[in-house]
Amino acid sequence: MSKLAVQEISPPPSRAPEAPQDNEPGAFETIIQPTRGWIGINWAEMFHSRELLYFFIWRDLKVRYKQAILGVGWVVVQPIMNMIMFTVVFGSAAGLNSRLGKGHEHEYSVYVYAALLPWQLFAAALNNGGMSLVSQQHILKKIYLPRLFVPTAAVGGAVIDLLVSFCILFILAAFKGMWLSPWALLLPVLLGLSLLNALGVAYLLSALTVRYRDFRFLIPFLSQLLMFVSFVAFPPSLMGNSKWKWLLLFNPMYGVIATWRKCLLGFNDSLTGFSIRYLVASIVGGLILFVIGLIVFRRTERTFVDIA
Amino acid sequence: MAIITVENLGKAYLLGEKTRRHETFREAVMKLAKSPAQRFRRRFLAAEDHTDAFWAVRDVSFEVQRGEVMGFVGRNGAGKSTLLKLLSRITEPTEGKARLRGRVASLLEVGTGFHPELTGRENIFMNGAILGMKRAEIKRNFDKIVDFAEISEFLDTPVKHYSSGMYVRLAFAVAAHLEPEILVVDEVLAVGDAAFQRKCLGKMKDVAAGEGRTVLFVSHNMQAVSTLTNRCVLLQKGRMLRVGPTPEIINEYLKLVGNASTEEVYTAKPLADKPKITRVELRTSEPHNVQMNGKEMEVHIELTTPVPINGARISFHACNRMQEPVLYFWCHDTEHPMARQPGTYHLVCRIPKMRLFMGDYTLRVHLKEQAGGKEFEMLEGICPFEVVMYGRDREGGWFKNTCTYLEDGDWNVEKVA
Repeated sequence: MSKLAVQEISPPPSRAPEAPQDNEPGAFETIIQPTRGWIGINWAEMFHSRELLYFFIWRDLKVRYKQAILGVGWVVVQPIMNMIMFTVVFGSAAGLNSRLGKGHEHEYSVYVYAALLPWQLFAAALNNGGMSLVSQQHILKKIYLPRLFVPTAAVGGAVIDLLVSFCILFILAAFKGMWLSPWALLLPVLLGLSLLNALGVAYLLSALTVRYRDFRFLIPFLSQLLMFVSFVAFPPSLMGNSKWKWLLLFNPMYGVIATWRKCLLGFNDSLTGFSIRYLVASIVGGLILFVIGLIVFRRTERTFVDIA
Repeated sequence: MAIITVENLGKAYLLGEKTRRHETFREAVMKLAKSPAQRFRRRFLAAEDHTDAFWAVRDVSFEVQRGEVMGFVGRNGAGKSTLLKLLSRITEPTEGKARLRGRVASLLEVGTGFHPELTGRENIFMNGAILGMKRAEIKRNFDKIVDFAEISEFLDTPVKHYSSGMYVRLAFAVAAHLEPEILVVDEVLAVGDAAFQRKCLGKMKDVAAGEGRTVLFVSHNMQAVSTLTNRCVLLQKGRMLRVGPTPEIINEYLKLVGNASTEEVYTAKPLADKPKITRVELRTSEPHNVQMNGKEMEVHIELTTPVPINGARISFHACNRMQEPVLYFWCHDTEHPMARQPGTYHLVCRIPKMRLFMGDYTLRVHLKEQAGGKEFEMLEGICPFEVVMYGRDREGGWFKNTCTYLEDGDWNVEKVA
């Protein structure tokens, strides 16, 4: 009663008195019972232990290039090697660089590199994200932690790679006498869209791989296939006016990559294959993928330890 | 108010899940295609969901007060580990509810999340974070952890270059500096040294009783249970038999284990699909499983297998009345090739001089595949035998519990001044 009276005369305290404090006994209450519902994610708990996510990402980055002579240099070298390979094979040897228009053939490397940025993120989600639960099972079987962090960290590490790659793209473009398009300011939004897709895939595949180890073998193939149908290494104008073009609407990565190319370098829509409906398809597809990924992940997580 | 309340907690495994753990994608697709009607019936029409379920734990209810150290005892397969997994949230229960009021940390293993490529310093942070510590908390305790582990010179060396002793010390050091209100521990605690145990269990025996840490402790080792806990839960076949003060529960448990076998010779029927220990027999110096200290004893084990075993390993412990293992013997395929073809194998372990001190003992026998492989069988509390001393003379006689075993010693006495 007295508490009530005090509150009436004094302004409400900035921090609610019942707000839990970390070192206060009884601040936490854990209720263990069968989960019901579709997703049932404990956001508060994830927020509380967010540091663990940073630690996972940090560990992955630390460990990844240990005992390699180039070390962290591989972050830079890997996409460059990809770019050189695609430029030589598809650009020069197959003569696709002529599609960039007269006098622009030398821009093929930048054209490829712009697509490699989101593609790397996506490939990491497929490969590292997909295997993340299985490869960390020795930890997950011994201790409880917000398991959503495990595939999230696999994607998170790739975001750091992407930022490094972006700097290289900037240098490369400048070297070729090209300027980033003003649309590049949309980068954070684009990154968000790419993340939505990448996380969705990582959640879905990591959960499926736990249940069906077949995905261990399917994923590399899937990754290759997706790279082709997302037109990373060559321009989508190769398709011409194929009657199968509508199928691209079901590949959310296609729209993401086309938008990246358009926004970063301001290439013509006929070169990037951009069209607003592909972007919308990416957003909708990404959302669906993300939600389905979460649901499948959560359903698997409940009994993860029993089947892994 | 109780800090932990557990009500009717249960965990079922579908029998299909147990036998077919790695269902492949192909099988799932086939099943989907083959029997839509069956699936439909099972999903929507089946009255009882868990009819063909195996309950690893069921109807377990108890309360734990703040500052209490609660033990969980029971034979192998009684559901101790499953209960521990449920309470540390590694797996979800099928029914029931548990309410834990306070920060929970579980220690089913030390050094979870240690990465061989990371340095000691980095692993302290990684392991701490996995155990649920905040960065600030780890930083605050960092020096104490390093001191406790005695590895300060090697702090920036990758742990893959550590000796196994250093590795374990570091792992224990991090665990010892956890500051949860509720600690769930497996036998790891019994492995740690006294300083570690004291740190982990917190201020349980301090003046400020009631402010100490609440600990849930699972162990096979009755010695550890009786020294560390004040109350215990006795489990059998997934059910809770009793909750009560530790000495009473241990007595009951020992009766349970004792009842399991009073047979001098253990025998079992061979299985059609799996290897099995079909006979364990002692050849003691005296009749009826009575062994004279210092005399020869033989353990005969018969193994029958319908399939070849890949790197078979047989080992056995002699355990005292508190179920503490006091002797260990092993026989590996690498040293003594065995069971590489189906058949029956007879193993003899000759102990030339049985040095165990007088008392009652039982055997605990393990049959496994090579390291990391399948565990086929674990027999507990079989072939009870008694070690006696009356054949050995000693002025003043022998007293129970003087020691665990007798070693030969040569004395030399001189007058020096």
